[in-house]
Amino acid sequence: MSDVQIGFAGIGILLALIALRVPIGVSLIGVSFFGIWVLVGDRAAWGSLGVIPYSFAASWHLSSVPMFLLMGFLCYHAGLTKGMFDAARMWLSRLPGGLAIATVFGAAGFAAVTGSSVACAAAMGRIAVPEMMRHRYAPSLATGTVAAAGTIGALIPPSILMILYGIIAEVPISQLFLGGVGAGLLTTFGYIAVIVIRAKLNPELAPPLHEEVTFRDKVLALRETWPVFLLMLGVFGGLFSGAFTPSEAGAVGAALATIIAAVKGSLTWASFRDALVETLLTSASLFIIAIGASMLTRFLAFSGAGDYLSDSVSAIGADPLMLLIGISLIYLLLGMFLEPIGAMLLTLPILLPILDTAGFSLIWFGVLLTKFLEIGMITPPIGLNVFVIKGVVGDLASTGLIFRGIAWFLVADLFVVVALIAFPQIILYLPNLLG
Amino acid sequence: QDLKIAVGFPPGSAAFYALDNLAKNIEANSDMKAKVFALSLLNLKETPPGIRDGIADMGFVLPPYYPAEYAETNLAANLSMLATTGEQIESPGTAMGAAMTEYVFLHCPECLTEHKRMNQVYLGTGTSPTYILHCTTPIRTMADLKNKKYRSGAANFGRWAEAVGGTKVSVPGNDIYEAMAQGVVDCGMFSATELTNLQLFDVTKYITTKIPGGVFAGVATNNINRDTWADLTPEQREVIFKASARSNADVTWKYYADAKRNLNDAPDKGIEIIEPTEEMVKFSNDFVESDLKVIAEQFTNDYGVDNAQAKIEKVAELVDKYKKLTKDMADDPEALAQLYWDEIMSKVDLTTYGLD
Amino acid sequence: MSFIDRWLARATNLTTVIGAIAVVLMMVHITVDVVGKFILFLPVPATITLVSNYYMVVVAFLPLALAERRNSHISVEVLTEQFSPGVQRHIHGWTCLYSAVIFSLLTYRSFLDAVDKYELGSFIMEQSTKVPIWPGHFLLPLGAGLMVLMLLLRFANYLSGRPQPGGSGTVAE
Ligand code: NA
Ligand code: NA
Repeated sequence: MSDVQIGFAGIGILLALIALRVPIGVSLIGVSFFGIWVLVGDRAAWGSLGVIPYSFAASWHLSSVPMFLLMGFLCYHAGLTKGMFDAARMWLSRLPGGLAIATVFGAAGFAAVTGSSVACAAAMGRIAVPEMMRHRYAPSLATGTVAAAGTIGALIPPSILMILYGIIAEVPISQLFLGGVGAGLLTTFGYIAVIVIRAKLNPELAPPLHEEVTFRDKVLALRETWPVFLLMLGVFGGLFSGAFTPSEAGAVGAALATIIAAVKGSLTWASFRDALVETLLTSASLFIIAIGASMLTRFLAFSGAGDYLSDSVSAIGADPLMLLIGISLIYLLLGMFLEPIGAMLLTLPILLPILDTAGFSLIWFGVLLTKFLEIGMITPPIGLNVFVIKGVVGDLASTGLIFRGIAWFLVADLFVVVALIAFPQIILYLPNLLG
Repeated sequence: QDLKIAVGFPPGSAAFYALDNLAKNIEANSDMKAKVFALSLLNLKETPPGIRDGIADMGFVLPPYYPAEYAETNLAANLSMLATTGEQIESPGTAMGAAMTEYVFLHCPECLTEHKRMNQVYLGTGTSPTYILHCTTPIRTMADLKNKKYRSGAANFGRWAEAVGGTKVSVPGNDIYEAMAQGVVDCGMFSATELTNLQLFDVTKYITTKIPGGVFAGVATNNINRDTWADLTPEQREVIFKASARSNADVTWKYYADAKRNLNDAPDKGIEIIEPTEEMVKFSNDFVESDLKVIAEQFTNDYGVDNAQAKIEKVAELVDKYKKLTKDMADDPEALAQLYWDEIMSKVDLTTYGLD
Repeated sequence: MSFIDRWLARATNLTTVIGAIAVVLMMVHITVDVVGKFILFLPVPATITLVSNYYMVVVAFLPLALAERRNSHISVEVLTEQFSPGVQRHIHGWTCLYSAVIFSLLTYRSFLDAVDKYELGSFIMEQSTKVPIWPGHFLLPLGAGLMVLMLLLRFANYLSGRPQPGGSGTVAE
């Protein structure tokens, strides 16, 4: 077998293990370990098992994930966000799927604070899902909404992926950030359209509010929204005034949530303890998967599979449309198995020069690529956003159920991708205007 | 023999340029194959243990990431401010890189031992150009330097920030962009190469040249795994050794050339370039002088390095030697590589080097 | 068996307490550093080093066994949920053994690394502050090792037909 064939065989075995319900992290680590052994030898296999897990977890950057998780869990257990959702329910009662729509808007707002979609999903997950379930939303819609909405976190600036792309492609990060605004907003509205259409077609999914709500009720409901506004004010204010970076925003958010809950009088020992334990459970189950995904990237790097796929695309020839379709397929395929940074590292060295020669704007492509990689975050079998939501909802929903709930949002993503390709101005308008 | 070479920087970076050239030189002069993995195999932090454990055969190692493991090498690297004080040359990195390389190869058996402990064979050093201030606010006078927040990547630059009355802030490489964009730091201290390397053109508004000075010398350009090294034939080892002389020179030259280009481009991108006052330069030079004692103390106490004072004097002497020898080599990597070979690497006994 | 079960429960509880402390410290440490930098121009020393080399390593590895006990590790059940409960039980038992093998490899390898770091007295200098980091390296084999024991207990329970801690491990739709 050639190296590339071994790479694809490894993917096949990985799929089989996952189907047999081997924990995802174990499946990834095992296939990568034995795969590297076969490709390069035992020394490199043992080496990667020694080097990668520690160096991956011992990361300042990743610290925002447990911190945003903690903030979300604290908000939930101390009831900080309940008032906000009650208000949203009353104000959006006429809109089909109002709470889900409020969740998407919440994620889009949160996206301006965090640079990663996992952190965004983590923060929104524990806040939004139980509130939607409390109002008898279908679990698939509730969980699918948050997992998908989390991807907006990497599209609307700041964005870790765009920073890395900017460095690799040598294009201005500020232009990518501006371009991300258009793609992020289009995605936001695409997801809202999905929710409205689904709720219209099947009101069971998101039961409309039947009680009479007077304007007075609506205004009164606003009184209980102060904890969330205070939290948002603190996090946004600190970020934009230069007090902290997005990497630090999670910890500050969690600390603020603790203080607000204490002031509000809803911070009990039990709620604090539950928030901490859930943070630990979710972080550990998420990190072991991310470590496995990181090892899989090295295995595929050794196998040359990324080069092989990229070369196949370049062999398609000069037709720009065919090139774009080929590249789209590659990223949808890689996105199924790899985490975004790995997929980027494996392919960009070959694809960037090709795109540059073909005359595509590398700013436009960077934003489109981010969109593709974010789609990968919610496609089976390895979808990190889905796993975050699975972690925060526990037994309320299976991973299969969450993936099914996401299917509809993927349809919207398909439209968004086609629109971004057909009308590059959606991305390039702001960079051209302000750059 | 297939050599896997890891670079924790993306294609387009100076480090990638040098190691890609290395791979080409190795393939052209031997029957070996060499493949360079840019970022996809090992990142900067993973590279030293990654080479030790054989994930990659060779790679671009930054010893400062592992202060305990490479204490002796880092002592020499910490003296980089010597390259920019005293006699001024066009590209101080050429002097510092060659001085480091001679020091480690010929005068510092402890250095070679610590590379050996990491299961690696040292093959030389190339460096960055001069560290200067990249700021979001203009720094024109001594008074401007006060009460600013400085991003410093190393202890000596942190002490410089405190000496001028500012605050040192630790920000990892990937966070610098956001930290400068949002004003979490006022000035970043690094070489002008990073304007493109880390895409900092967008967020830099003012550059003050010459200060703090110093270069980034904590580099082992292409360390190789000891088992890989031992498995090679003597002829193959010589090919790699000669190619390494060139890749060390390439690192220094490419970093320098990119910095020069970036400083040329900066005004067109709306960045004002400020010359520091005499007073600022003098203050910085005096700091370097007094900081040498601090370095000696720190490496003796915290790192357990013996005879730190004598080692510092040796490195200082070598820096002066190579300032004279390399002063016309700023734009000539070929001549610099030849100097590395003639003055240093040809004096290493390849029949035993790295095989003990 | 129940002795081992009780002992493991106690060990995971202890790791949970340590983990919870690490999470709180991470939050407080970063926040105080942010406030210190912004208001007082006085950053807390070694924040990045402690967050990445201690708190994060605790959070990533110490709760592994607790997550196993609570069935919090993530898997995809789309295919196996079509099978009968008996078949699911067999599959689950043997995948626990496979997982135990993988985590044993990780435990062994990371323990060797930790010993190496200990012998060297590995540390990091953040600015002028020396922070030893070798103890953090032992957290990985500790967390992964507990995970191995937890998985072996599950496999033994499967062989002997005893109920699994934390329920059967099947997820309700
Ligand atoms: Na964002
Ligand atoms: Na996926």
